[in-house]
Amino acid sequence: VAGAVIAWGCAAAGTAAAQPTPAVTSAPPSTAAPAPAPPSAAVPTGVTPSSANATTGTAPQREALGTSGKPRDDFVWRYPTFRTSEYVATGIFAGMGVAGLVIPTATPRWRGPTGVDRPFRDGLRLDGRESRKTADDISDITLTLTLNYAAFDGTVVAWALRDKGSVAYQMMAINVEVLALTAGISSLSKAIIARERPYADECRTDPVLRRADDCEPDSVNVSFISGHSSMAFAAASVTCMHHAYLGLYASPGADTAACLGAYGAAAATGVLRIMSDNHYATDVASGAAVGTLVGLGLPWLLHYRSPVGDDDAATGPMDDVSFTIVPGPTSASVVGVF
Amino acid sequence: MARPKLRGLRDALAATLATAVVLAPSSAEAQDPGSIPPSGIDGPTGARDLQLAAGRPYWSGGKSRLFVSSTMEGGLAYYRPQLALGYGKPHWRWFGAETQSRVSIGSGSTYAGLRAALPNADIRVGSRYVFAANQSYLLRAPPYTDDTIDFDDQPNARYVSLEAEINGSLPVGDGALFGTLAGFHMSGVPDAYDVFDQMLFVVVEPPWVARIRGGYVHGLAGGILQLGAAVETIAIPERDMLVVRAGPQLAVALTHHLDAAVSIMAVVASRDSLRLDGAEIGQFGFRYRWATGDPFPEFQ
Repeated sequence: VAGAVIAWGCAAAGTAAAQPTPAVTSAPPSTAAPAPAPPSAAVPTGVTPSSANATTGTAPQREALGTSGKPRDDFVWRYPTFRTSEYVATGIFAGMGVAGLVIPTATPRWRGPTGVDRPFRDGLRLDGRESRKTADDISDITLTLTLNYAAFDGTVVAWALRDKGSVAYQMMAINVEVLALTAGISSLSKAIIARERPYADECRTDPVLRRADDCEPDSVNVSFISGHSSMAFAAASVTCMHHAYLGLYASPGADTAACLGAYGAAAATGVLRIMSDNHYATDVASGAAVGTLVGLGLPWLLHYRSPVGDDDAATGPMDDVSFTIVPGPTSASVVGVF
Repeated sequence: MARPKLRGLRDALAATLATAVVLAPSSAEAQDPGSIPPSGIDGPTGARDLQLAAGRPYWSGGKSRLFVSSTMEGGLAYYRPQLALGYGKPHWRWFGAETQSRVSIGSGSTYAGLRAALPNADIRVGSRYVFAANQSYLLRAPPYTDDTIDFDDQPNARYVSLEAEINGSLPVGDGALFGTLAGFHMSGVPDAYDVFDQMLFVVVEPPWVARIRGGYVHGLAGGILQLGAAVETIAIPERDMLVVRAGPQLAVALTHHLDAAVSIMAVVASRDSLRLDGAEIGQFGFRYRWATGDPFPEFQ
């Protein structure tokens, strides 16, 4: 069991309180009768039965059956399905994103760094325009990776490899909902706050850059919050939620690695946005906070916190993985136990 | 540097498109691939070559007929609906007319033409009108950089492209070799201007452009997954220039009607320095196929 903490702001990471439970393999899904399945014949299935719910029969029987007595499926959606209201909300979220684009940002309403921003900019901003452009490109790639990884889990892993279009559909619907809300918040924030980007001074002095659309007001006055950071952290967070509650890879180690890798790419995206001088540190931290809160909070509130249906359902081999949001006065931490 | 406004729009559009294209089919009922015969693979965003490489056996059933078919393709951040009227077996072996539109961040296009398709070959000829909302004509000053193609002090680019393309594939073991040969004749671009084509991702001095692409995809998981690589060369004779790109290709069949694919073609060699603007870096794109006379439609 290893602990991991993802934190932003100045808060110290707390310790995790969740207690891990041992992972248990279950009978193959083809087992139609409640016959004991030898552990050696079991395959990683993605679900660990809940001993609290399965109260009768031998241990292997409890593994093969839910309390309803029906053969258990190993990888099914055991949470509230995507609601009609969520489709509507997702459309509204997307509309928020578009609305942010029509709010004029001709004049910056916030200029310059804060006291927190200065040391980060001085320490991270790369020398030389080519170097900063390279960092900008890499941040595009890391953002692309986090977004595509979320899509990969749904389409390739859940749907194609684990044969569960129904689960994949729920995952992808939640992904879209999370990303739409994050994009909406990000877009409105950029337009309303209209903070000037750090590189704005170059637009006034560099004759080449001045002609490019990077220096147009609707490009240069939209620094707060960092859209790259918010989207990358949202994608990483929702990826982690799926892994934590569904056990997509049927291996706690692999699921944990996927989660940490996604957060690693998201964190790299944020740092690269400062290195490339596209954002101040406060833009990135705020974007990361928004993305993480939406990516963890929305799936949990609307789906994962309320297991439904069959008995043994809402558990999985990732029982021993938990995430907790720990708010602080000036910050928040995400504490995970693996 | 970044174009945040555009990326914000991209995010919003992506959410909308993904909702419409990806989720809508499942509102009927998501199919589990294990419960149906394997369907084929369509190529990544807009590439017909990969779909040829895999074939689509589901669509080979039934009788030849007069049909109307459609393909709706969406990804981050583009949407491309296609409508065809033809005779034969839709999405398999047919000939007829097709039209398609493509909307992406900052640009769009409308295409109409004729097409003939066989399981292992596909040919089309047609005309495409391209309009750009945030891409200006480029005052001729090669070589170009990612900065200079972003200059926005000239009129927005609009032009017509006459196109001919042939695709083919050859099964090899569990996979297939595939290839594409295409020619483009662009007109409507004022003299002294070049244009950055947002489908080819190259700066073109009209009128001619040629593209050749080849690759191999290997079937995994019973053919549901296709993983491989492609390399392509784009020739721009008026600039006496070649652009070489290469990268991985991934496609996955989700149902008979729905596929997903991602394609990355990074620049290997070019006189221009367009950075990522010159690469084809696709997000997961989803393609849904429909046709009249489909015996097992996902929507009744």
